[in-house]
Amino acid sequence: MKWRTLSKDKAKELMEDYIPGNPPMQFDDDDCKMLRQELMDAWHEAEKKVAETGNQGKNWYPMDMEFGLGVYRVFSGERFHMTPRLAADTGIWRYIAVKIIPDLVTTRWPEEKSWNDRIFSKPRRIYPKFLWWYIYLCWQGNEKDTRMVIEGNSEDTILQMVDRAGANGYRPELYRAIIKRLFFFSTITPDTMELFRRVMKLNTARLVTTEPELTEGGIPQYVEELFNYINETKTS
Amino acid sequence: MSRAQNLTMHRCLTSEETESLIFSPMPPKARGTGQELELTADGTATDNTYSLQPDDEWNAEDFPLSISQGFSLSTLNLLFDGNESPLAVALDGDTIGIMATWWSSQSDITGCERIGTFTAEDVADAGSHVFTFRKTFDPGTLKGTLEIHYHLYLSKKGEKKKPGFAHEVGTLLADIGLPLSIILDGTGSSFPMTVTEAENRPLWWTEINIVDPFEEPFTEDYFSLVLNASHPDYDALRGRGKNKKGTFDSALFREVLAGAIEELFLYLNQNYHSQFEGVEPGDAPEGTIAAAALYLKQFIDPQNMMTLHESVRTMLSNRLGDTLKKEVAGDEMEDVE
Repeated sequence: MKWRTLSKDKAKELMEDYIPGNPPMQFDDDDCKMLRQELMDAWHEAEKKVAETGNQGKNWYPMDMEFGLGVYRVFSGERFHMTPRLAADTGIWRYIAVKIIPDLVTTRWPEEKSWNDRIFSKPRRIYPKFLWWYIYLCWQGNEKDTRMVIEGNSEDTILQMVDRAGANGYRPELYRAIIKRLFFFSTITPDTMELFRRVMKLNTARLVTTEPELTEGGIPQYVEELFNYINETKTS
Repeated sequence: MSRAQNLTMHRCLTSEETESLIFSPMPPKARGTGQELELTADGTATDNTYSLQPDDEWNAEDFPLSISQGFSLSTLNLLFDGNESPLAVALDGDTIGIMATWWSSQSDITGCERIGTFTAEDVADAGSHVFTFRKTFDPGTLKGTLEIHYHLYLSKKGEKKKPGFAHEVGTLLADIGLPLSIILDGTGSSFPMTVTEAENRPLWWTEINIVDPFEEPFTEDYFSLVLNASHPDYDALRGRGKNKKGTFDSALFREVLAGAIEELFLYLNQNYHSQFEGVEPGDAPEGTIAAAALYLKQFIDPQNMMTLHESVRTMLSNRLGDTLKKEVAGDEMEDVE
């Protein structure tokens, strides 16, 4: 696969004349055509799964989650294999959003005022990039376990995870442990999202002076203590 | 920024104090799959910066990369309280660890790696001890410049406790030595720039997507000087003839760079002035927009438009300016689609 990129400027120019919902008129090569097909299949599959669970129309998270899993699946295959090195390239995702699946992105984000963020401008919020990184940071080794731990989350969870990279990047192992622990707490805590926000803030503060991997018990123990601290201060 | 230096609850070393440890790095080594890869030293003789030379049989996307660097540290005995040393950051009976945090500038992934540990008994002499950083990075993990920063941390807690000393395992105690920087891709340029082609637009402009300058990296995604290759003056900007490679070594480029730096300061001043009040260089997380701005602010007077204008140009015309220009120019930039 030859990974193509699109500058912010060019993306903005192309979207000025774009009519929402229209598929791309042409493709730069066969790989792009094939990629579109696979992403369209992932979208339709996601729609079907959301309809089956009865979550359709309630909010966008179920669709984001299912399509995110589908996006991750497509980019885990041999033909379109995505690594963090490639996935960090905003230009690649801009290309995908504007030239491969503009209709899907504008279906999800129909208001033109949100296109700036979701299609070409905000590096961490470009829709397919946003979804890939969410799934990557939540990945539990396979799709089934990953779906289980993220099913109860919300759009805010995705934002909290993906936006909080820090200057030097993400710590995938730590994030995966946090999201797994969140799943456990979601079964016993009513306000899971508030808990999650507080845990992420506490983690950001603790990272200044502590290296999670090097604490006693390593990352699992560190994460356990984060949640326990927040849970205890909430109830005390 | 030193992560440890922000700490006020327990002892940790300042950057001046860590100089007593006499960090001496050896040249690093790089290996691909089976073959040694060539690293050439960049910068001055005292930098710990290297460039990975192109290799026909290795690339960062498809192959792992193994990096190792040995370094020595001396007078480690002074780090323990039993010697009544003013540099003590741990008690007798504690174990101090050395570790490295790493990240690559353009792949959004960071991690850490243990290097070694020592007790007071291990380093009872004041001599030098050698440690070696070793890590193999998976394919597709690294892009841009690989940064490796060395730190001391509390590896194991002894039985003693004393106010002012860390007692939680994993607590950072000091940043040590010179970070190792290995330029894997691109020029290693520290000032974010992109090249585009846009008819009927100016020679240059800035693109700014800053939401939190203390969190976001100083990369093209958040702040970029955009150069327009379609503009008739673009070749003059590159400083060479039309059909020859240019390295942006021109008076026009210096003026453009000055303008971009001015815009960065004006934007930050307008939108984040209060967040920067009282913040010193070294306080902002390394690699962030804020860290870059605070570093430049040492040489710039942003008090008003006139002082900003003049001080930026003075900075670029002196020795720091030469360093910045060299970092920015590098080799020929690739044009962006």
